[in-house]
Formats: sequence, structure tokens, C-alpha cells
Amino acid sequence: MIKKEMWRNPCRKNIKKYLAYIRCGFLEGCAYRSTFITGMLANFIQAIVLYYVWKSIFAYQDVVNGYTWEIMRQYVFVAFLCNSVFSMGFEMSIAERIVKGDIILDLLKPLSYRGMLFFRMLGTAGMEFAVTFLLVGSIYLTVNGVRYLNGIRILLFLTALLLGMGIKFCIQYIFSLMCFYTDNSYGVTKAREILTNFFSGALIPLAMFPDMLRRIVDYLPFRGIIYTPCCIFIGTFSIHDSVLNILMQAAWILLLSLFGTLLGKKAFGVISMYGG
Amino acid sequence: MIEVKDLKKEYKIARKSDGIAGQLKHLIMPRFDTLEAVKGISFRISEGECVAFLGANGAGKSTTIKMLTGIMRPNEGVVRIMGKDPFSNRIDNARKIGVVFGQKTQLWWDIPVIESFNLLKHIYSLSDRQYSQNMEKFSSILGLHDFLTQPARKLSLGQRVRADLAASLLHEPPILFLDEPTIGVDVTAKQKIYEFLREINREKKTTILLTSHDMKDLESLCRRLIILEKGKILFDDSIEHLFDKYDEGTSLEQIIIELFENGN
Repeated sequence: MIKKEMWRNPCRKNIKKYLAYIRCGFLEGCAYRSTFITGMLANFIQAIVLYYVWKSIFAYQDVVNGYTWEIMRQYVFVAFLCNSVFSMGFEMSIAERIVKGDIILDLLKPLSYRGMLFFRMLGTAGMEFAVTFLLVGSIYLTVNGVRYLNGIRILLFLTALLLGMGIKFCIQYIFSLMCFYTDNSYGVTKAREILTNFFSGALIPLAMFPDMLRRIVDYLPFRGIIYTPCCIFIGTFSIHDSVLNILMQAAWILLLSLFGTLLGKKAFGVISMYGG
Repeated sequence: MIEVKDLKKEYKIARKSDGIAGQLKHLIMPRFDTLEAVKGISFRISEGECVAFLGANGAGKSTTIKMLTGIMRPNEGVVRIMGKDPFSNRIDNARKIGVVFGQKTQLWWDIPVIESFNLLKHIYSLSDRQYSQNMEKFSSILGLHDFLTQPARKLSLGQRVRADLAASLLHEPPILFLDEPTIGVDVTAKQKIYEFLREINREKKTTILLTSHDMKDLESLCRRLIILEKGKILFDDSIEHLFDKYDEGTSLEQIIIELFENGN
């Protein structure tokens, strides 16, 4: 009994530490609301443009690579929802902290650096997600209605969406560590954003990629961020495929976080801020 | 408490020639020079001591502090903070030390200062009593009450440094590292800070290691002085001993200037 108490106590304290970061992240997200709103608006305009581009394409053709307009008009909105959390602004500030050397203040705290970032992002993302979810949800319902919704699929979709955010976070973490070597926060985050947008299916469903490219993309982690949750939601994956893909997302998270740990060990060794 | 032996740190710095041609050349064929910031220093600090680090700009003070706090790996040599290597035990070490870098802030830029303190309470798992007691004490001594609800970006430099100092001491660390803690602080606030430091040094036996360019304050606070010059220790003894070597009436400032000039 006593032993159990001893084990539980430090564990609970540890969780409390990180929960406190969620709170601060959330507050910070609220403080940056104008950045977030403009960023979201930019993404949203992109989604609207995509919506009308696809609409005009489907006016000439009923089916494109197995996608009908019925599917596509859902895909556009769901992809937007998946892409809008863990925004670029937050990632930039992390990268800049590394370049400017302010990261040493984070390293002076008795916490895992990555854990701290994750929970802080979770707080910010929570704010972003709530707003985007309401917005996209209501638009989705006005455009598509409730006819495509299905309980099990929604549950699987939410799981895949969360795991997708996990993958995105792992990739962002790895890229931000590169700032230790390149001293260029903008380039690194921009490169990350373009790579993920293209290979995750944010712009075009991966099924429409040329054969060769599609096979490569299947072996990359990016598809788990947007394509997997989207396909689960709109029903291009069977339930069996959905579960398999969710397992694959989990495997990618494990692999990427392992890689992040190894890279982190190396990167923190090269910290050498000159001055004073 | 703190043990340092043959500590060395080198930086790689880019060697660029002037002008556009020089920049372009560096782009294609970057060259680096190694700069020895700390060239093998050794010292020992025992519990409850208050030691001042003195040195010209670029003497290696901050570099040494960064290695002592466990955020930077030394190239050579040994550091022990309470018997353990700070770099490989970073998280453990972070609980035992408080750090202020006068030029940086650990406060959250865009949310009220009080939230930063609240976060620290959770990070260091402080009890409600310990937290409110310390907050009360620090706020009254350092005068934090006026700006606790403001975000850090709205504070003046002096206010920010005072808040940072309180933040680094909230968990009552046995060791305190201060890198230019009185930068941009006005005279009265400076007095308060040094009184405060004297008090915690006396009451809680907190070991303090600080760097500053303000000699008068160092003199009133620290008994021991370590003077660094170009990465080497020039002097390491009590302030009285330093005065003994010079004519009576010579101020610390004059002695330092003389030391540096001879050192060159």
C-alpha cells in the first residue's frame, strides 16, 4: 500500500507539471489570436479556392481517379480541418528560440524538452482546434448535411486525426532540431510546411498522384497527417483498411519519436552560444 | 558544492572577409576558426559561499556559467555540481539550481507574469504554502505587486530582471547562478536586489555565483573574487587579499584596470 502511494505520487506530480504547460500554451494561443485568425483565414481561402477548382473539374468529368464530386467536396473540408492544428506560427517561435539561443532557458527546467513542447503545443492546438472545428463543422454540415455521417467512422476518424497530429508534432520537432545546424528558422519551417502539405494530401488526394509517386508516398510518414484521417472519414478506406492505417500511424509515431530522441541527443551537444 | 577542473570550451566561428566578395567566398567555401573561450580553469566553491566572477567582455564568464548549469557540454575537463555532472544529469541538476541570465528572460512573453510563476510552482512541485509564502516575500522585497498581471513584454527592463530573479528563486535552490543580474536596473532597485541576495545567502546558506560589471555592488556582496581574463583565471582569492597587494586607498576598480592591463 505504502509502496503504491510512493509510486503514484511522483507520477501524479509529473503529470501536473505538464498539464500546467497546457494551460500556458492555451493562454498563449489566446494571446496570439490575431496571428491564428489570419493564418486560419489564409488556409480557409485556400480551401475555398480548392473547393471551386475541384467543382469546375468535376463539371467536365464525373470521376477523377476514382473520386467523385460527392467525395471530393467532403475531402476539401476535412483536409482543411486536419491541416489547421499545430500551426506554423508556433513552430516558427520554437525554431527562433533555438536560433536566438533562448532555448537555454527551456533547458534549465527540470523537464524533458520535447515533453514540454508537446504539452505547450497541445494547449495552443486545443484553442485552435476548438475554433476550427466549429467553423469547419458548420460549413461541412451546410454543404453536405448529415447524410454521410456514421458513428464508427467518426470514432475512427477522431483517433486517426489525433495520431495524425502526433506525427505532425514528431516531424516538426525533428525539423526544429535542424535549426541547431542551419541557423535559419524561416527556411526550416517553410521547408517542413511545403513537404507536409504536398506529401500528406492536403492539396491533392494521394490517390490522384502518378503511380510511381504514389508508391513512394505510401512509405512516407506524411500521409498519416491528412490523407489517412480524410479517407477514413469520407469512406474510401474500408473499416479494415482504416484500422490498419491507424496502426501504421502509431508505428510511425514510435519510429519518428525514436529518431527525434537520437537526433536530440546529438543536437543538444552542439549548443554553443557565443557571447559574454 | 561546485567543483571545476581543467575546464575547456572552444567555439567555432566563421571567418569571413569584408564586403560582398568576402561574404560570397564564405558562402561557397566556409572557413572556421576555433576560438578558445575557456582555456582550462579550475576552482572549487563550498556551500554558502558568495563568489563574484569578474572579467572583461569575452573573458569567458558566461561560457563558464553555461557549462556549470548543464546546458552546454565542455570540450574538456570536469564539472561537478553537488557531486554530479550537470550536462549528463540535466533534469536532476535543474532542480538544484536557480539561474538568471540578465539578457534573457524565462518569463512568458505574452501572458501575465503571474502565470509564469504559477507554472513554476507546478514545474518544481511546490506546495501551496511554500509558493504563497515565497511569492509574498519576493513581491514585497522586489516590488513585484505592480506588474504581476501584465504580460512580460510590457515590463521595463528593470522590472523584468526583478521578476526573473524571483522566478529563479521560487523553488529555493541551494545554488544560484546570476549572469549580469543588475543589467538595466536603477540604483534603488539594485540596492534592493543586493540586499535580497545577501539575505538569502545568510538565511538559507544559498551558494551564489554571479557576474557583473558593477564593482561596488560586488564588493558589498561577495567576499571571494575570481577574475577571468581571456579564458584563464587571473586571480582567485578573497577581496581583502586583493586589496593587500596594492597601496592603501586604491579602489577595486583601479585594481581591476591595472590587473587587466598587466595581463595583456
